[in-house]
Order: sequence, then structure tokens, then C-alpha cells
Amino acid sequence: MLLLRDISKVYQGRSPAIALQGINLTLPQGEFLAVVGSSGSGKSTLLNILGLLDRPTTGEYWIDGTRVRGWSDARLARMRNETLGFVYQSFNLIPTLSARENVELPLVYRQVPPKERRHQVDLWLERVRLSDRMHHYPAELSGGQQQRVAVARALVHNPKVLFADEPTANLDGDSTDEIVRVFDEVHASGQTIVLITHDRYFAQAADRVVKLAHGRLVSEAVTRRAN
Amino acid sequence: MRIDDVVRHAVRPLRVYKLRSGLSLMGILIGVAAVITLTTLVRSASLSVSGRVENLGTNLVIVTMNPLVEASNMQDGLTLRQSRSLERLPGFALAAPVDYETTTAGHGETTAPVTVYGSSPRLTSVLQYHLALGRNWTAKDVSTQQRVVVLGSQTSRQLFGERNPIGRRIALNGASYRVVGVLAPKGAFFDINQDAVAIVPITTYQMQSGIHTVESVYLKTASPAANPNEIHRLEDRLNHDLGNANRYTVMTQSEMLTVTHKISTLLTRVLTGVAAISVLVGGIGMLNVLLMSVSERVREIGVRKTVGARRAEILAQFMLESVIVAMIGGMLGAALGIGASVLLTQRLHIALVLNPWIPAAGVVASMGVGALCGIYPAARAATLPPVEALRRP
Ligand SMILES: Nc1ncnc2c1ncn2[C@@H]1O[C@H](COP(=O)(O)OP(=O)(O)O)[C@@H](O)[C@H]1O
Ligand SMILES: [Mg+2]
Repeated sequence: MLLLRDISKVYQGRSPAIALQGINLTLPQGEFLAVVGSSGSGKSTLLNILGLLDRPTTGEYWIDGTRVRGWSDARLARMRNETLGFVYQSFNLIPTLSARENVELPLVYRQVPPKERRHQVDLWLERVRLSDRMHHYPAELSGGQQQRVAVARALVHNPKVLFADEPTANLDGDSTDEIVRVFDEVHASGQTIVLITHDRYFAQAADRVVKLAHGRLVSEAVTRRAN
Repeated sequence: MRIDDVVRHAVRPLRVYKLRSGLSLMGILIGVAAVITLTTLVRSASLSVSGRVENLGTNLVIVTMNPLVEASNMQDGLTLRQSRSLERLPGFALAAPVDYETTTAGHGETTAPVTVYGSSPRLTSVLQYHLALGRNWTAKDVSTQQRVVVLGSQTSRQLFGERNPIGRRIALNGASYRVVGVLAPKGAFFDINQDAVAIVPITTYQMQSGIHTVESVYLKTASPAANPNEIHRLEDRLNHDLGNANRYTVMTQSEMLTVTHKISTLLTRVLTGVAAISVLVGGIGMLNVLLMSVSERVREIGVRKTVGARRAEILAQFMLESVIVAMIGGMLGAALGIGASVLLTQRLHIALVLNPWIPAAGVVASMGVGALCGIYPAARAATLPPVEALRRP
């Protein structure tokens, strides 16, 4: 599904920073990959490159058998819209849109007519158990509820890969459990996932855990669960 | 993004961020209201004035004395005899000398403010008054300096209530006059109350005031409109009588109309310029608020891009938002401007002449300003790279 070959990323600036170096990684379809590592080790940079939000400085990136090279912003946007979903630590809901309007956002940018998107949106609001809150605005929801809206938004368009950057870092125990449950469920039904987390318990839900340190992959472990 | 979604997403922030939207449309609202009020007022006023001038007849010619310059050796003005003899100039049919002052009229304990005209019997018809009661005084009353008066309808009501004033006496400047007629009401025009008048023979007026020259002469030509030859002859005579061409001004109806038109055109241009500047200043205020709004919503832009919004879609959303804000400002401004125009023309007692294209143009121009001011903030929003946008707190 995803293939990285010798990827590096250097942030140009007053003092150029090497964020990633010599990354080789393969992600088969249906795999749940967890990325761990200390703060500043390059996890978010890696996820941004995988998620077509940023371009690597060197190296090859293949997605679904096609090499990503010299793509226009519009093509990257369409690719993200059609095949990728994102969840962030800080929920990133649009404050002026209700829960259901936030969830339908990827479908809106895909020109899906309102009648057709309704079914998908309702289905996902139900899966994250927020059907009764769909007309609420983000400010009227708890952190855990907001993150569930964000998860529904990331999955509403059946993306090929779900990316999550520390989705439980701002949540309490019960809310974390709820997110882990949803990830477990979608993974069980074949969803490919890349998760960045500091939460060992959440990482144990993955098939495989890779560790980053100073921009390099330093260790790889297959979890008990995958066996 | 479908068009209905673009509109929905563009309108939503206006409802949520009411204060900010209100602030950004305020400048445009005031500008449009100012344009509409000022242009409508000038247009209504100038049409009222020229309508009034036209009513006086195309053959009207007015001679007025210019204010005396101090230490000049100009003559005081026309005598009554000189003013009358103008009527006998070839081509002229009528000459009515007119003097006037404002004073107080009294009847017993009751008093009323009044403009007293001293003139000939023809003044009532020249000024298009109609008699409601009694009769006008006559040329004989003028030649014999009778103390007779025709009252305006309001003055009559103030002094006599509903009683018939014919044959009763009023006091003007300490002298007693007999009421012979009452005029039909005419209503107010600008600040001038045309029904608070008292018209007396000019001979009586001059005897009372002690001034024996006339301030102005209303003339009518025999033909439907004054021709240059007739005006020339009139000026020759006035130069001879007054010894100085700077002592007086001759105005024909068409000149009065031209002056009215010139003043209103000039005023309209100046005011439109001022108003256009104020709309532009309103636009700059809006630009400021929009830029603020974009930098406040960097994260939203990042989220939209992450889920697949293209540059054009972000651009469209933010442009539409600013055009809609400006349009609402323009529409509110148009409503305010129309309201103010109605109110002010009522206060000025002139007919409202509202060109419906002016408010329409105001709204369209606002939308143009909105589009113009929206371009830069929207372009900034559209070109933000998604990772940059998401990194912001
Ligand atoms: N836009 C940027 N410009 C410069 N340096 C950056 C930028 N983004 C990240 N970095 C640097 O790259 C390194 C990796 O950052 P990041 O991928 O965010 O780490 P992590 O997500 O693991 O905490 C850090 O040293 C960070 O300071
Ligand atoms: Mg990070």
C-alpha cells in the first residue's frame, strides 16, 4: 500500500534541521502500524510525508503502486480527499460547523450531493456513538466527543489509509478507551492505519510498532497481537 | 465543492462571528447610506426648486438690487416711479415692485410672526397665490396709500382662529391695517413658511418704513419667454436709472434654472466624490477585519486543505464571505439611506425624488468593494501550505 525508500527530510531555515534520514518502510494493506519515539524524533514529519501534506527532500514514495513525484498541489489535495483520513492530537474541528457538518467535510470536497452523504455521515456518527450530538458545535462537546467527531470525519469517505498523530494525548482514560475501541473495530474490518502514539497500551493494539530516534528508524517490533 | 456548500460555508461564519462581521460591514454601510442620502437630497431639493421656478412662468424676469458696498457712491436703488416705468419697456407686460421684511403681526393680545410684502396688486398672481376669502386690494389702494392687507392662511388662523377676519384690523409695525382678503394655504417650502405672510400696498409699506427705493422688481414679458433684445433694453434702462451696472442683477427663468442645475450638479459631484471615498475607507476597514479573520482561521484553512480542499475552493469561500458581508452592508446602508432621505425631505417640506438605481448601484458597488477587499485575504488563505496552517496553535 505505502512504500518509502531512503526518505529524508531537511527543514531549511536559519539552521537547517534534518528531521528524517534514510527511512525505508513498507506498509501492506490492512496493516495497523504504530510509530513511537521521543518528542522531536521526526514522527509528525514522517506522517506528513506519508499523508501527502509535505514533500520529502530526497527518496522515493510509492502509494498504491504509483510513485509520488512532481505532483501538483491540486493532485495531492484530490489524493488526500479520496484516499486518506487524518486525526490530530488537537481534534482540529471547524468551530463554525456542527458535528455532522464536520464529519461530512471530505464528502463536501468530493462534491457528493447532500442526499448521498447523509447515509455515510449518519453511519459514522453512530459508530462513534454521537448520533444524539450531531447538531452540536465543537465548543458544545467534550474533548473526547470532539475527537470521536474527528475520527468519524477521517473515516467517513472510506479512506485507504487512516493517519493519526497522537490522537489520545489530550484525552482522559475513558475517552482514550473509546478511541482505541473504534480503531480496533475499523482495523478488524480491514482498515490500514498509521498511528503515532506515546501510549504503550494503544501501541499494543497495532500489528507492528516502529521506533524513531533523531530522524532514523531504530527498532521495529511485531506485537504479540499480530501473531 | 458544490455551489450550495460554498455558500453555506461562506455564510456560516457571519452568523457565528456576528460582532466581527458587523464591524467589517459598518464602514460600507455608512458609506452607502451617505451616498444615497446626499444624492437623493440634492436631487430632490434641486427638482423642487426648479419646479417652483418653472411654475412662476417662462416669461418671468426678476431684478434684484445687490447689497450696497460700503463707501461706494452707488445710487440707493430704483424709485417706485422708475420701477413702474419698466413695465412700459417694449416687450414687457407687467412690473411688480417688491419689498419685504419679517416682523410681528398683532390682533388684540394675539401676535404672529409674519413676512410683510409691499407690492402691487399683481404680486399675488405672480407668486401664484389664490384668494380664499374676501378680495385683493387694488391699484387705487396703492395710489392712495391705504392701510389694507391680504393675510396668509396661517397668519389669519393664528390671529383670528376660525373667525372671519375680513373687515377686522391688525397691527403691523405699530400701524393699523384693515384685512380685505385671506389667501388659500400653500404649505411650506424648505424652511420658508409661505402661509405666514401679509401683503400690503408698496406705497403704504414705504411710508411706514421710510425707505423709498425698492429691493426687487418682478417683471413678465409679453412673449412666452424673455428674448435677449428685451433683456438688453431692460439693462440699458437700469444702467441709466442706477448709473452703475454692478448695482443690480437680472435673472430670467431659464437663468434661474441653469443656476439651480449648476449648483445641484456641482453638489452631486462633490458629494458623490466624498461618498465614494467613504465607501473606499469602509472597504479598507473591511480589508483589515478580513485579514484578521484569515489569520485567526489559519487552522480551519489547514483542516480544509488536509481533507482535500483545493486552492480555488478556499479562495471562493473567503471571497464569497467578503462579498456577502459587503452586500449585507450595502443593503443595510441602502435601507438607512432611503429612510434618512424620506425623513429629511419631509423635514424640508420638499418632494422626495428617489432614483431606484442609486440604492441598487450602492449595493452593487459594495459587492465590488467586497470582492476587491476580499481578494488579498482570500489569496493569503488559499496559498497557506496545509502543514504550516496546522502547526499554528
Ligand atoms: N517546519 C519546520 N521547520 C523547521 N524545523 C522543523 C519543522 N517542523 C519540524 N521541525 C523539526 O524537525 C524535527 C522533527 O519534528 P517532528 O516531526 O514534529 O517531531 P515529533 O512529531 O516526533 O515530535 C524537530 O527537531 C523539529 O524541531
Ligand atoms: Mg509530533
